[in-house]
Amino acid sequence: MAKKIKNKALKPLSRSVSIIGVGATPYMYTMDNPDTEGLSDLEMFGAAAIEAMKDAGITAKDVEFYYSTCAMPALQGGYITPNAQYSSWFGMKGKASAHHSEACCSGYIALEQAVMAVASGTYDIVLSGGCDMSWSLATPRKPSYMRRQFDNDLYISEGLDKLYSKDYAAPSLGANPLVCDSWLDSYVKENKLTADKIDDVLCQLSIDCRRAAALNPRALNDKTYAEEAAEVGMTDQEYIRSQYNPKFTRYLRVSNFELRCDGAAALIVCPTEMAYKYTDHPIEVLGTGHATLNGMIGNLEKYATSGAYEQIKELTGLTGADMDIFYANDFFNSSQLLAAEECEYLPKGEGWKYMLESRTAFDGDRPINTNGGRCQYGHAHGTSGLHDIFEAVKQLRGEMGRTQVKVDPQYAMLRGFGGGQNVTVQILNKL
Amino acid sequence: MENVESKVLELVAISYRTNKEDLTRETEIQSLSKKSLQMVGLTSLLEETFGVRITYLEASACKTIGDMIDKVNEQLK
Repeated sequence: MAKKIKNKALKPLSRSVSIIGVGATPYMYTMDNPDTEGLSDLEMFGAAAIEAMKDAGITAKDVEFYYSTCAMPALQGGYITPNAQYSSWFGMKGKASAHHSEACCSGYIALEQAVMAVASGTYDIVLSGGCDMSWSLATPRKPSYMRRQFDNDLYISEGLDKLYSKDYAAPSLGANPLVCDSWLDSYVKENKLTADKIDDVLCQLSIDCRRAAALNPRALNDKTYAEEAAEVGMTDQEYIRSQYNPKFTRYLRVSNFELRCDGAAALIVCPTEMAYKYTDHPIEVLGTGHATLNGMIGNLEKYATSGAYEQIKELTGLTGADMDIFYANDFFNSSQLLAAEECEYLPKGEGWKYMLESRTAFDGDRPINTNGGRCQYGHAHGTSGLHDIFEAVKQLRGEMGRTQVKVDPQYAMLRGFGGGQNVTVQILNKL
Repeated sequence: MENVESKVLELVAISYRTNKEDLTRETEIQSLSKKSLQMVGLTSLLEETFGVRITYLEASACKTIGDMIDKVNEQLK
Protein backbone atom coordinates (compact mmCIF):
# COMPACT_ATOMS: atom_id res chain seq x y z
CA MET A 1 0.00 0.00 0.00
CA ALA A 2 1.27 3.48 -0.85
CA LYS A 3 2.02 5.92 1.94
CA LYS A 4 0.30 9.29 2.07
CA ILE A 5 1.78 11.54 -0.61
CA LYS A 6 3.22 14.83 0.59
CA ASN A 7 4.93 16.56 -2.31
CA LYS A 8 6.78 19.84 -1.94
CA ALA A 9 4.65 22.97 -1.95
CA LEU A 10 3.93 24.55 -5.31
CA LYS A 11 5.46 27.95 -5.91
CA PRO A 12 3.15 30.69 -7.14
CA LEU A 13 3.08 31.36 -10.89
CA SER A 14 5.46 34.13 -11.96
CA ARG A 15 2.49 35.87 -13.57
CA SER A 16 -1.23 35.18 -13.54
CA VAL A 17 -2.56 33.25 -16.55
CA SER A 18 -6.13 33.07 -17.88
CA ILE A 19 -8.06 31.02 -20.40
CA ILE A 20 -9.44 33.28 -23.13
CA GLY A 21 -10.78 30.73 -25.62
CA VAL A 22 -12.07 27.17 -25.78
CA GLY A 23 -13.24 24.87 -28.57
CA ALA A 24 -14.46 21.28 -28.73
CA THR A 25 -15.85 18.91 -31.33
CA PRO A 26 -18.80 16.76 -30.30
CA TYR A 27 -17.94 13.34 -28.95
CA MET A 28 -18.82 10.76 -31.59
CA TYR A 29 -18.36 7.35 -33.16
CA THR A 30 -16.76 8.81 -36.26
CA MET A 31 -16.56 5.60 -38.29
CA ASP A 32 -20.15 4.58 -37.59
CA ASN A 33 -21.81 7.69 -39.01
CA PRO A 34 -21.85 8.43 -42.77
CA ASP A 35 -21.71 12.16 -41.93
CA THR A 36 -18.41 11.81 -40.08
CA GLU A 37 -16.80 8.69 -41.54
CA GLY A 38 -13.48 9.62 -43.08
CA LEU A 39 -12.71 12.46 -40.67
CA SER A 40 -9.10 12.25 -39.53
CA ASP A 41 -7.47 13.28 -36.28
CA LEU A 42 -5.82 16.11 -38.22
CA GLU A 43 -9.18 17.64 -39.19
CA MET A 44 -10.65 17.06 -35.73
CA PHE A 45 -7.73 18.78 -33.98
CA GLY A 46 -7.84 21.63 -36.50
CA ALA A 47 -11.59 22.12 -36.00
CA ALA A 48 -11.27 22.36 -32.21
CA ALA A 49 -8.24 24.69 -32.44
CA ILE A 50 -9.98 27.03 -34.91
CA GLU A 51 -13.08 27.16 -32.69
CA ALA A 52 -10.89 28.06 -29.69
CA MET A 53 -9.19 30.84 -31.66
CA LYS A 54 -12.56 32.23 -32.74
CA ASP A 55 -13.80 32.06 -29.16
CA ALA A 56 -10.75 34.05 -28.05
CA GLY A 57 -11.11 36.54 -30.89
CA ILE A 58 -7.61 35.86 -32.21
CA THR A 59 -6.18 34.44 -35.42
CA ALA A 60 -3.48 31.85 -36.02
CA LYS A 61 -0.92 34.64 -36.38
CA ASP A 62 -1.42 35.55 -32.71
CA VAL A 63 -0.54 32.06 -31.40
CA GLU A 64 3.14 31.85 -30.44
CA PHE A 65 3.40 28.26 -29.29
CA TYR A 66 1.11 25.24 -29.30
CA TYR A 67 0.93 21.91 -27.53
CA SER A 68 -0.81 18.82 -28.76
CA THR A 69 -1.81 15.80 -26.74
CA CYS A 70 -3.21 12.32 -27.30
CA ALA A 71 -3.34 9.29 -24.99
CA MET A 72 -1.88 6.85 -27.51
CA PRO A 73 -0.54 8.86 -30.46
CA ALA A 74 1.38 6.18 -32.35
CA LEU A 75 -1.52 3.72 -32.12
CA GLN A 76 -4.54 5.96 -32.62
CA GLY A 77 -3.17 8.64 -34.91
CA GLY A 78 -0.28 6.74 -36.42
CA TYR A 79 2.21 9.50 -35.56
CA ILE A 80 5.07 9.79 -33.09
CA THR A 81 5.02 13.59 -33.51
CA PRO A 82 1.36 14.58 -34.03
CA ASN A 83 2.11 18.24 -33.24
CA ALA A 84 4.13 18.47 -36.44
CA GLN A 85 1.35 16.82 -38.48
CA TYR A 86 -1.37 19.08 -37.04
CA SER A 87 0.51 22.30 -37.95
CA SER A 88 -0.96 22.62 -41.45
CA TRP A 89 -4.53 22.28 -40.25
CA PHE A 90 -4.86 25.49 -38.27
CA GLY A 91 -2.21 27.82 -39.60
CA MET A 92 0.75 26.86 -37.44
CA LYS A 93 3.41 26.00 -40.02
CA GLY A 94 6.86 26.79 -38.68
CA LYS A 95 5.72 27.71 -35.15
CA ALA A 96 7.25 26.23 -32.03
CA SER A 97 5.32 23.28 -30.63
CA ALA A 98 5.52 20.12 -28.55
CA HIS A 99 3.54 16.97 -27.98
CA HIS A 100 2.92 15.35 -24.61
CA SER A 101 1.08 12.20 -23.59
CA GLU A 102 -0.09 11.13 -20.12
CA ALA A 103 -2.89 8.69 -20.94
CA CYS A 104 -6.33 9.96 -19.87
CA CYS A 105 -4.84 12.77 -17.75
CA SER A 106 -3.37 14.36 -20.90
CA GLY A 107 -6.15 16.93 -21.31
CA TYR A 108 -5.66 18.36 -17.82
CA ILE A 109 -1.89 18.45 -18.23
CA ALA A 110 -2.47 20.25 -21.53
CA LEU A 111 -3.70 23.17 -19.42
CA GLU A 112 -0.88 22.88 -16.88
CA GLN A 113 1.79 22.97 -19.62
CA ALA A 114 0.22 25.91 -21.44
CA VAL A 115 -0.06 27.89 -18.20
CA MET A 116 3.60 27.25 -17.35
CA ALA A 117 4.72 28.35 -20.84
CA VAL A 118 2.95 31.69 -20.34
CA ALA A 119 3.71 32.11 -16.64
CA SER A 120 7.42 31.70 -17.39
CA GLY A 121 7.26 34.83 -19.53
CA THR A 122 8.53 33.01 -22.62
CA TYR A 123 5.24 33.24 -24.55
CA ASP A 124 2.13 35.39 -24.33
CA ILE A 125 -0.41 33.39 -26.32
CA VAL A 126 -0.33 29.59 -26.22
CA LEU A 127 -2.80 27.11 -27.69
CA SER A 128 -3.09 23.68 -26.14
CA GLY A 129 -5.26 21.00 -27.71
CA GLY A 130 -5.78 17.31 -28.11
CA CYS A 131 -7.42 14.75 -30.31
CA ASP A 132 -8.10 11.13 -29.51
CA MET A 133 -9.82 8.89 -32.03
CA SER A 134 -10.43 6.27 -29.37
CA TRP A 135 -13.19 4.53 -31.32
CA SER A 136 -10.92 3.76 -34.26
CA LEU A 137 -7.28 3.34 -35.18
CA ALA A 138 -4.96 4.66 -37.84
CA THR A 139 -4.19 2.12 -40.54
CA PRO A 140 -0.46 1.58 -41.03
CA ARG A 141 0.87 2.94 -44.34
CA LYS A 142 -2.54 4.41 -45.27
CA PRO A 143 -3.75 8.05 -45.33
CA SER A 144 -5.13 9.48 -42.08
CA TYR A 145 -8.77 9.31 -43.17
CA MET A 146 -8.58 5.53 -43.74
CA ARG A 147 -9.22 4.25 -40.24
CA ARG A 148 -10.03 0.81 -38.84
CA GLN A 149 -12.13 -0.50 -35.95
CA PHE A 150 -10.52 -0.34 -32.49
CA ASP A 151 -12.22 -3.24 -30.72
CA ASN A 152 -11.76 -4.16 -27.10
CA ASP A 153 -9.37 -7.03 -27.84
CA LEU A 154 -6.95 -4.54 -29.33
CA TYR A 155 -7.73 -1.94 -26.68
CA ILE A 156 -6.73 -4.36 -23.97
CA SER A 157 -3.78 -6.00 -25.72
CA GLU A 158 -2.34 -2.87 -27.37
CA GLY A 159 -3.70 -0.03 -25.25
CA LEU A 160 -4.11 -0.97 -21.59
CA ASP A 161 -1.06 -3.22 -21.89
CA LYS A 162 1.04 -0.07 -22.25
CA LEU A 163 -0.36 1.57 -19.11
CA TYR A 164 0.84 -0.82 -16.46
CA SER A 165 4.24 -1.61 -15.04
CA LYS A 166 6.25 -4.40 -16.62
CA ASP A 167 9.09 -4.24 -14.09
CA TYR A 168 8.83 -7.87 -13.10
CA ALA A 169 5.87 -9.38 -14.90
CA ALA A 170 3.31 -8.90 -17.65
CA PRO A 171 0.53 -6.50 -16.66
CA SER A 172 -2.55 -8.09 -15.21
CA LEU A 173 -5.97 -7.49 -16.77
CA GLY A 174 -7.17 -7.22 -13.20
CA ALA A 175 -5.22 -4.04 -12.68
CA ASN A 176 -7.89 -1.67 -13.88
CA PRO A 177 -10.68 -2.90 -11.58
CA LEU A 178 -8.07 -3.17 -8.81
CA VAL A 179 -7.25 0.49 -9.22
CA CYS A 180 -10.82 1.74 -9.65
CA ASP A 181 -12.99 -0.62 -7.59
CA SER A 182 -10.89 -1.04 -4.45
CA TRP A 183 -11.38 2.55 -3.32
CA LEU A 184 -15.15 2.17 -3.63
CA ASP A 185 -15.01 -1.03 -1.62
CA SER A 186 -13.14 0.77 1.17
CA TYR A 187 -15.67 3.60 1.06
CA VAL A 188 -18.59 1.21 1.37
CA LYS A 189 -17.02 -0.46 4.41
CA GLU A 190 -15.86 2.74 6.12
CA ASN A 191 -19.33 4.25 5.85
CA LYS A 192 -21.14 1.03 6.78
CA LEU A 193 -23.09 1.04 3.51
CA THR A 194 -24.47 -2.04 1.78
CA ALA A 195 -23.97 -3.12 -1.83
CA ASP A 196 -27.66 -2.33 -2.43
CA LYS A 197 -27.34 1.18 -1.01
CA ILE A 198 -24.29 2.05 -3.13
CA ASP A 199 -26.14 0.58 -6.11
CA ASP A 200 -28.99 3.04 -5.44
CA VAL A 201 -26.47 5.89 -5.25
CA LEU A 202 -24.69 4.99 -8.49
CA CYS A 203 -27.98 4.34 -10.32
CA GLN A 204 -29.28 7.78 -9.36
CA LEU A 205 -25.95 9.29 -10.37
CA SER A 206 -26.25 7.61 -13.80
CA ILE A 207 -29.79 8.94 -14.26
CA ASP A 208 -28.75 12.50 -13.32
CA CYS A 209 -25.61 12.48 -15.45
CA ARG A 210 -27.58 11.12 -18.41
CA ARG A 211 -30.08 13.99 -18.00
CA ALA A 212 -27.20 16.44 -18.42
CA ALA A 213 -25.68 14.55 -21.35
CA ALA A 214 -29.01 14.29 -23.18
CA LEU A 215 -29.29 18.09 -23.12
CA ASN A 216 -25.69 18.64 -24.28
CA PRO A 217 -25.19 18.70 -28.07
CA ARG A 218 -21.56 17.58 -27.68
CA ALA A 219 -22.40 14.45 -25.67
CA LEU A 220 -22.61 10.91 -27.08
CA ASN A 221 -25.97 10.19 -25.47
CA ASP A 222 -29.01 12.12 -26.62
CA LYS A 223 -31.78 10.31 -24.69
CA THR A 224 -32.51 10.32 -20.98
CA TYR A 225 -32.86 7.01 -19.16
CA ALA A 226 -36.56 7.87 -18.70
CA GLU A 227 -36.95 8.04 -22.50
CA GLU A 228 -35.03 4.79 -23.04
CA ALA A 229 -37.06 3.07 -20.32
CA ALA A 230 -40.36 4.20 -21.81
CA GLU A 231 -39.48 2.36 -25.03
CA VAL A 232 -39.65 -0.93 -23.13
CA GLY A 233 -42.51 0.04 -20.83
CA MET A 234 -40.50 0.77 -17.69
CA THR A 235 -39.69 3.75 -15.48
CA ASP A 236 -36.10 4.94 -15.37
CA GLN A 237 -35.74 3.55 -11.83
CA GLU A 238 -36.89 0.09 -12.99
CA TYR A 239 -34.85 0.19 -16.18
CA ILE A 240 -31.57 1.20 -14.52
CA ARG A 241 -31.78 -1.86 -12.22
CA SER A 242 -32.99 -4.28 -14.91
CA GLN A 243 -31.29 -6.67 -17.28
CA TYR A 244 -30.86 -3.72 -19.62
CA ASN A 245 -28.20 -2.47 -17.24
CA PRO A 246 -26.63 -5.53 -15.55
CA LYS A 247 -23.92 -5.48 -12.92
CA PHE A 248 -20.49 -6.59 -14.04
CA THR A 249 -18.60 -6.18 -10.76
CA ARG A 250 -19.73 -6.36 -7.16
CA TYR A 251 -20.88 -2.75 -7.27
CA LEU A 252 -20.77 -1.48 -10.84
CA ARG A 253 -23.33 -1.72 -13.62
CA VAL A 254 -22.86 -1.10 -17.32
CA SER A 255 -24.15 2.47 -16.90
CA ASN A 256 -21.35 3.14 -14.42
CA PHE A 257 -18.65 2.55 -17.04
CA GLU A 258 -16.96 4.93 -19.50
CA LEU A 259 -18.08 5.29 -23.14
CA ARG A 260 -15.02 5.16 -25.40
CA CYS A 261 -15.35 7.47 -28.45
CA ASP A 262 -13.65 10.05 -30.72
CA GLY A 263 -13.21 13.76 -30.07
CA ALA A 264 -10.97 16.82 -29.95
CA ALA A 265 -10.75 20.00 -27.89
CA ALA A 266 -8.48 23.01 -27.44
CA LEU A 267 -7.93 26.04 -25.24
CA ILE A 268 -5.99 29.29 -25.43
CA VAL A 269 -4.25 31.00 -22.53
CA CYS A 270 -2.50 34.35 -22.12
CA PRO A 271 -1.30 36.54 -19.24
CA THR A 272 -4.30 37.78 -17.26
CA GLU A 273 -3.05 41.35 -17.66
CA MET A 274 -3.57 40.95 -21.45
CA ALA A 275 -6.75 38.87 -21.26
CA TYR A 276 -9.25 41.74 -21.21
CA LYS A 277 -7.95 42.83 -24.61
CA TYR A 278 -9.56 39.65 -25.99
CA THR A 279 -12.49 38.85 -23.76
CA ASP A 280 -14.77 40.35 -21.14
CA HIS A 281 -14.76 37.11 -19.21
CA PRO A 282 -11.26 35.66 -18.68
CA ILE A 283 -11.07 32.52 -16.59
CA GLU A 284 -7.97 32.58 -14.39
CA VAL A 285 -6.07 29.35 -13.75
CA LEU A 286 -5.04 29.38 -10.11
CA GLY A 287 -2.73 26.38 -10.40
CA THR A 288 -2.34 22.64 -10.81
CA GLY A 289 -1.69 20.19 -7.97
CA HIS A 290 -0.06 17.12 -9.47
CA ALA A 291 0.95 13.65 -8.27
CA THR A 292 2.01 10.58 -10.21
CA LEU A 293 1.97 6.93 -9.17
CA ASN A 294 2.73 3.75 -11.05
CA GLY A 295 -0.45 2.13 -12.33
CA MET A 296 0.10 -1.11 -10.43
CA ILE A 297 -0.18 0.53 -7.00
CA GLY A 298 -3.47 -0.30 -5.33
CA ASN A 299 -5.66 2.65 -4.34
CA LEU A 300 -3.38 4.97 -6.31
CA GLU A 301 -6.36 7.13 -7.32
CA LYS A 302 -7.06 7.93 -3.68
CA TYR A 303 -3.45 8.64 -2.68
CA ALA A 304 -2.59 10.67 -5.76
CA THR A 305 -5.85 12.65 -5.57
CA SER A 306 -5.09 13.50 -1.96
CA GLY A 307 -1.49 14.49 -2.80
CA ALA A 308 -2.51 16.72 -5.72
CA TYR A 309 -5.36 18.29 -3.74
CA GLU A 310 -3.15 19.13 -0.75
CA GLN A 311 -0.77 20.97 -3.09
CA ILE A 312 -3.43 23.17 -4.68
CA LYS A 313 -5.07 23.81 -1.31
CA GLU A 314 -1.77 24.99 0.17
CA LEU A 315 -1.01 27.15 -2.88
CA THR A 316 -4.38 28.90 -3.10
CA GLY A 317 -5.75 28.75 0.43
CA LEU A 318 -8.98 27.47 -1.13
CA THR A 319 -10.63 24.15 -0.31
CA GLY A 320 -13.15 22.02 -2.16
CA ALA A 321 -15.84 23.52 0.06
CA ASP A 322 -15.15 26.91 -1.58
CA MET A 323 -15.85 25.50 -5.05
CA ASP A 324 -19.13 25.89 -6.93
CA ILE A 325 -18.66 23.11 -9.52
CA PHE A 326 -16.52 19.96 -9.43
CA TYR A 327 -15.31 17.73 -12.25
CA ALA A 328 -13.80 14.26 -11.87
CA ASN A 329 -12.44 12.15 -14.72
CA ASP A 330 -14.62 9.13 -13.96
CA PHE A 331 -13.91 5.97 -15.96
CA PHE A 332 -16.26 4.46 -13.36
CA ASN A 333 -18.83 6.95 -12.13
CA SER A 334 -18.07 6.08 -8.51
CA SER A 335 -14.97 8.29 -8.98
CA GLN A 336 -17.26 11.32 -8.83
CA LEU A 337 -18.24 10.43 -5.29
CA LEU A 338 -14.80 9.38 -4.09
CA ALA A 339 -12.83 12.26 -5.62
CA ALA A 340 -15.40 14.87 -4.52
CA GLU A 341 -15.05 13.74 -0.90
CA GLU A 342 -11.25 13.44 -1.08
CA CYS A 343 -11.12 17.03 -2.38
CA GLU A 344 -13.57 18.20 0.33
CA TYR A 345 -16.16 19.34 -2.23
CA LEU A 346 -18.63 17.07 -0.45
CA PRO A 347 -18.44 16.33 3.30
CA LYS A 348 -16.58 13.14 4.22
CA GLY A 349 -18.87 10.15 4.43
CA GLU A 350 -21.88 12.20 3.33
CA GLY A 351 -21.36 12.45 -0.43
CA TRP A 352 -23.47 9.39 -1.18
CA LYS A 353 -26.49 11.13 0.36
CA TYR A 354 -25.98 14.17 -1.88
CA MET A 355 -26.01 11.88 -4.91
CA LEU A 356 -29.02 9.92 -3.78
CA GLU A 357 -30.91 13.22 -3.48
CA SER A 358 -29.68 14.44 -6.92
CA ARG A 359 -27.89 17.37 -5.26
CA THR A 360 -24.82 16.75 -7.49
CA ALA A 361 -26.86 16.89 -10.72
CA PHE A 362 -26.24 19.90 -13.00
CA ASP A 363 -29.37 21.52 -11.56
CA GLY A 364 -28.51 20.62 -7.95
CA ASP A 365 -26.82 22.78 -5.30
CA ARG A 366 -23.43 20.94 -5.47
CA PRO A 367 -23.06 20.14 -9.18
CA ILE A 368 -20.53 17.57 -10.37
CA ASN A 369 -19.66 16.65 -13.97
CA THR A 370 -22.24 18.96 -15.48
CA ASN A 371 -21.59 17.51 -18.94
CA GLY A 372 -22.49 13.97 -17.80
CA GLY A 373 -18.93 12.73 -17.28
CA ARG A 374 -17.10 9.87 -18.94
CA CYS A 375 -19.94 7.39 -18.49
CA GLN A 376 -22.69 9.51 -20.08
CA TYR A 377 -20.99 12.34 -22.01
CA GLY A 378 -18.24 10.10 -23.38
CA HIS A 379 -14.52 9.47 -23.14
CA ALA A 380 -12.05 10.23 -25.91
CA HIS A 381 -9.12 9.40 -23.64
CA GLY A 382 -6.52 12.19 -23.77
CA THR A 383 -9.06 14.87 -24.70
CA SER A 384 -11.53 14.32 -21.87
CA GLY A 385 -9.72 16.75 -19.59
CA LEU A 386 -9.89 19.42 -22.28
CA HIS A 387 -13.61 18.70 -22.75
CA ASP A 388 -14.12 19.12 -18.99
CA ILE A 389 -12.15 22.39 -19.07
CA PHE A 390 -14.31 23.51 -22.04
CA GLU A 391 -17.42 22.74 -19.99
CA ALA A 392 -16.07 24.41 -16.83
CA VAL A 393 -15.13 27.59 -18.70
CA LYS A 394 -18.55 27.77 -20.36
CA GLN A 395 -20.29 27.18 -17.01
CA LEU A 396 -18.23 29.87 -15.29
CA ARG A 397 -19.10 32.28 -18.10
CA GLY A 398 -22.79 31.32 -17.80
CA GLU A 399 -22.99 30.11 -21.41
CA MET A 400 -24.25 26.53 -21.03
CA GLY A 401 -27.91 27.22 -21.76
CA ARG A 402 -30.14 24.29 -20.80
CA THR A 403 -27.49 22.68 -18.59
CA GLN A 404 -26.30 25.89 -16.94
CA VAL A 405 -25.88 25.30 -13.23
CA LYS A 406 -28.37 26.96 -10.91
CA VAL A 407 -25.70 28.31 -8.57
CA ASP A 408 -23.81 31.46 -9.65
CA PRO A 409 -20.35 29.88 -10.06
CA GLN A 410 -17.13 31.63 -9.07
CA TYR A 411 -14.75 28.65 -8.83
CA ALA A 412 -14.51 25.27 -10.55
CA MET A 413 -12.24 22.41 -9.46
CA LEU A 414 -11.15 19.69 -11.87
CA ARG A 415 -9.71 16.37 -10.71
CA GLY A 416 -7.83 14.78 -13.60
CA PHE A 417 -6.88 11.10 -13.56
CA GLY A 418 -5.24 9.02 -16.22
CA GLY A 419 -5.28 5.28 -16.41
CA GLY A 420 -3.45 4.82 -13.13
CA GLN A 421 -0.60 7.34 -13.53
CA ASN A 422 -0.94 11.12 -13.32
CA VAL A 423 -3.52 12.80 -11.11
CA THR A 424 -4.09 16.56 -11.15
CA VAL A 425 -6.31 18.96 -9.23
CA GLN A 426 -6.84 22.37 -10.84
CA ILE A 427 -8.84 25.43 -9.84
CA LEU A 428 -10.40 27.90 -12.30
CA ASN A 429 -11.57 31.33 -11.14
CA LYS A 430 -14.04 33.58 -12.93
CA LEU A 431 -12.68 37.15 -13.12
CA MET B 1 -30.27 -27.21 -25.53
CA GLU B 2 -33.26 -25.53 -27.15
CA ASN B 3 -33.93 -23.64 -23.95
CA VAL B 4 -30.35 -22.45 -23.87
CA GLU B 5 -30.63 -21.24 -27.45
CA SER B 6 -33.86 -19.39 -26.77
CA LYS B 7 -32.50 -17.79 -23.60
CA VAL B 8 -29.24 -16.69 -25.24
CA LEU B 9 -31.22 -15.11 -28.08
CA GLU B 10 -33.35 -13.29 -25.49
CA LEU B 11 -30.29 -12.01 -23.61
CA VAL B 12 -28.62 -10.84 -26.83
CA ALA B 13 -31.85 -8.99 -27.73
CA ILE B 14 -31.91 -7.28 -24.32
CA SER B 15 -28.22 -6.34 -24.43
CA TYR B 16 -28.34 -4.97 -27.96
CA ARG B 17 -31.83 -3.39 -27.70
CA THR B 18 -33.27 -5.38 -30.59
CA ASN B 19 -36.11 -7.85 -31.20
CA LYS B 20 -35.50 -11.48 -30.39
CA GLU B 21 -37.52 -12.45 -33.49
CA ASP B 22 -34.94 -10.74 -35.71
CA LEU B 23 -32.09 -12.85 -34.32
CA THR B 24 -30.89 -16.31 -35.40
CA ARG B 25 -27.91 -18.54 -34.68
CA GLU B 26 -26.29 -17.09 -37.80
CA THR B 27 -26.60 -13.43 -36.76
CA GLU B 28 -23.15 -11.85 -36.51
CA ILE B 29 -22.76 -10.05 -33.19
CA GLN B 30 -20.68 -7.24 -34.72
CA SER B 31 -23.61 -6.49 -37.04
CA LEU B 32 -25.75 -5.59 -34.01
CA SER B 33 -23.29 -3.09 -32.56
CA LYS B 34 -19.57 -2.62 -32.25
CA LYS B 35 -19.92 -1.09 -28.79
CA SER B 36 -17.86 -3.14 -26.37
CA LEU B 37 -19.94 -2.03 -23.39
CA GLN B 38 -22.91 -4.03 -24.65
CA MET B 39 -20.72 -7.12 -24.77
CA VAL B 40 -19.66 -6.42 -21.16
CA GLY B 41 -23.34 -6.41 -20.18
CA LEU B 42 -24.13 -9.53 -22.20
CA THR B 43 -21.24 -11.44 -20.63
CA SER B 44 -22.56 -10.57 -17.16
CA LEU B 45 -26.08 -11.69 -18.10
CA LEU B 46 -24.83 -15.01 -19.52
CA GLU B 47 -22.80 -15.74 -16.38
CA GLU B 48 -25.65 -14.82 -14.06
CA THR B 49 -28.37 -16.64 -16.01
CA PHE B 50 -26.55 -19.90 -16.66
CA GLY B 51 -24.15 -19.94 -13.68
CA VAL B 52 -21.21 -20.36 -16.05
CA ARG B 53 -17.84 -18.63 -16.29
CA ILE B 54 -17.32 -16.85 -19.60
CA THR B 55 -14.69 -14.15 -19.78
CA TYR B 56 -15.21 -10.98 -21.74
CA LEU B 57 -12.47 -11.98 -24.16
CA GLU B 58 -14.04 -15.42 -24.74
CA ALA B 59 -17.41 -13.83 -25.44
CA SER B 60 -15.83 -11.24 -27.74
CA ALA B 61 -14.24 -14.05 -29.75
CA CYS B 62 -17.70 -15.40 -30.67
CA LYS B 63 -18.45 -14.27 -34.22
CA THR B 64 -22.10 -15.32 -34.32
CA ILE B 65 -24.83 -15.87 -31.75
CA GLY B 66 -24.51 -19.57 -32.58
CA ASP B 67 -20.86 -19.48 -31.43
CA MET B 68 -22.05 -17.96 -28.17
CA ILE B 69 -24.75 -20.60 -27.69
CA ASP B 70 -22.10 -23.30 -28.27
CA LYS B 71 -19.81 -21.62 -25.73
CA VAL B 72 -22.56 -21.65 -23.08
CA ASN B 73 -23.46 -25.29 -23.84
CA GLU B 74 -19.77 -26.21 -23.59
CA GLN B 75 -19.58 -24.63 -20.14
CA LEU B 76 -22.78 -26.35 -19.00
CA LYS B 77 -21.45 -29.86 -19.78
